[in-house]
Amino acid sequence: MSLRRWRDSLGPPLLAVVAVVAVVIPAAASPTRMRASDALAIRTDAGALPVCDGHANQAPRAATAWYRLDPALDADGALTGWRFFAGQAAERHALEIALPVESFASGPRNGLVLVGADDGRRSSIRIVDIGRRCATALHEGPDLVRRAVLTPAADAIVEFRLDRRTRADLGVWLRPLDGSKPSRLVNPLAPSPRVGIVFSTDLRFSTDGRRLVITSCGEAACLTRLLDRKTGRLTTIDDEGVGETIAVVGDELVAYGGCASLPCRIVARNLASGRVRVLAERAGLASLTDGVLAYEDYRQRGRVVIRPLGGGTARTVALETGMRLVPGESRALAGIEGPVGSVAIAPEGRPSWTHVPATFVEVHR
Amino acid sequence: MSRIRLRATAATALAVLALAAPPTLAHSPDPAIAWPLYTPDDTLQFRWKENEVPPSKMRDAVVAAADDANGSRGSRAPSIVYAAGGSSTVEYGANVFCGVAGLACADGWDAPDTFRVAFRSHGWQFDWGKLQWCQLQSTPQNGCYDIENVGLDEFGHVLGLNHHANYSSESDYLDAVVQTVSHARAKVGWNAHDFGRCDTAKLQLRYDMVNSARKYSTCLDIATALSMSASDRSISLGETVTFTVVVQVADSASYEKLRSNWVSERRIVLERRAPGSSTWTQVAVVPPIASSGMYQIRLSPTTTYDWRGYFYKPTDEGLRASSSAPFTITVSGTCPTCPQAPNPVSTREARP
Repeated sequence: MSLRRWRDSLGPPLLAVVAVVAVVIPAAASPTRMRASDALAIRTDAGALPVCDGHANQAPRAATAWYRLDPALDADGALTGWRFFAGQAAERHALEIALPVESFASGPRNGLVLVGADDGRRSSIRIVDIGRRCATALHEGPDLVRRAVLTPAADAIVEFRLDRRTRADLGVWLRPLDGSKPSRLVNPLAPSPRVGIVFSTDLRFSTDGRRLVITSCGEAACLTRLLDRKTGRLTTIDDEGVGETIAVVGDELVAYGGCASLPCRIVARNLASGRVRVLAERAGLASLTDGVLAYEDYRQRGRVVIRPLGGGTARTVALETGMRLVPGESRALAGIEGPVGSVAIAPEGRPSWTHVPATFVEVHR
Repeated sequence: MSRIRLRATAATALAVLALAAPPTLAHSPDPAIAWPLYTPDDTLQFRWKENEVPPSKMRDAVVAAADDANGSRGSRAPSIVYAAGGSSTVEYGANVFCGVAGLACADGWDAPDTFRVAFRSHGWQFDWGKLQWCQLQSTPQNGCYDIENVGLDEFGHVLGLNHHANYSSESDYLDAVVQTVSHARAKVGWNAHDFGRCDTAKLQLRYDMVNSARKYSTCLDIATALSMSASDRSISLGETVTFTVVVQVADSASYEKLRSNWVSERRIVLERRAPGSSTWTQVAVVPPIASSGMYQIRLSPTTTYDWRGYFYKPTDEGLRASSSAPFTITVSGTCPTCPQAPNPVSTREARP
């Protein structure tokens, strides 16, 4: 297996999604309806990020991108905010944005990254077009939005909200981009002695877009809720043997095995039967794409194991010194989209903003 | 089968049963973390990672944590020291190996050559609120986390420890610093600066003892094996017998590096009983003569007795009691002027 650098070529499925995004977002979230405060304006070193012109029929310039968040510190080492770096393809960072401490990013998808920021009074959500180097405001309001993702159809935002004063869980909300009223999708998580105080809540969709996956993690344990968007049924996986989510593929939740740290086993839990199968032991960073799991194996230092979920022969790929598999966004504080059927490899597991952001390994070979 | 042999067989059977007993779950040593172990007695040097250098007060606390680890490892686990050119790193930033929730983390992906430890930034925003490091606050407030304590936890991971399994009540929280859930100021253990006994226990299991005289952690429950021989088992009154005792950790794979270790500088007692009696009498403490778990004493028995060596379970370490198989020394003849054996130190009922 060879490591190969970024390619601009994309498969047809991704291009189809691109078309949807290009049509929906600018039309639904016209910047003229938003009133972004100066405090929440996304600023770059060169000033405020321009507002995207919103031409609905404008073809996206690029459907691939990367981003990463890096802490911004004061002289005493206290976190004062985040530096959001983003770029396209093989270029070094094209965009650098200063964000407040309570911020997040999710994506990229089709060259777009959802960026949230809260200044202590109001939260804003914008979608940043990495290729066009512009942003579109999607929302600004007093609710504390801790994390958000775009729906697969790009017609709404799914938000995890906290009470601004107490930081109590306020549940997961759906905010349509057509301006209609947000509605609560999932109730706040009831206190769980097993999970303890919640440190992190991750939102994502299953690979087929059918399920919303909400993973709430305490310092060492996680609880996962899956909302079937078709039936409205909420499934809760409250199992000490299931930890941080890696992906949901078909009817299987692929997750770490409930360890507080790496290495850890990776398991696949069938959502219908509850049956658990072990996919890997002593696994490190992991990524799942196109039905194939890639993970670092602590028993094979410096190598990534590539294993189809449906069975078949696993193979390994050697990592160059200092290079690691890019894991999911919550763990990496970064995201990257690459060619279909590939996983990203980057220095220390995060897209680089000083060198080539990442290389890619094809998983189907 | 003679009576002596029968008793010896029974004692052996009991010893085997003791060995076969499963290790206690409560207060067990920490589990092992699943990356390769570093070399015993090695020195692991770390530096501050370029562009992710912790603030000055955190650096001081991390160096103190390394000193804490070195001072309380109680084993041949490597020492951890700061060196500007160190190949391992301590970092202060966003790191993939930390996961989504930890305050700090360690990684042994490049073990056993190097390690990485990362601390999240002061003010890091979790769902519950902002992470505050006590040493970075002008006046430490309840709810802050002690860097030195968390650093010691991370260095424990580096050395191969996984999180301690506590009782549900957490009444044993102080038995380990390497904990799943860190305690913020001022919960119990928030500023513990030495490895707990169950941390040290696992380090001893994985890396071995520094020498045969060192105490085994009280978090361990290690079976010992004691054997005793005599220079002669049939003597004339007035002759001297040399009793030689050897004490070892029992030969069990579950004892990892401690398996069959010599056990030196302990209190070994020579006991006797009249043949057919079930009451053993302590005769003398057998002094150690070598670091190889050997003890020796010379006596002149005045009459025929059964003899055994006995290692009583110490109160300050995790070793079990053990006894040698008894044997008889037959004394013949009379010698009115012969010196007597030392006065018994105590009399007690027989125990296996």
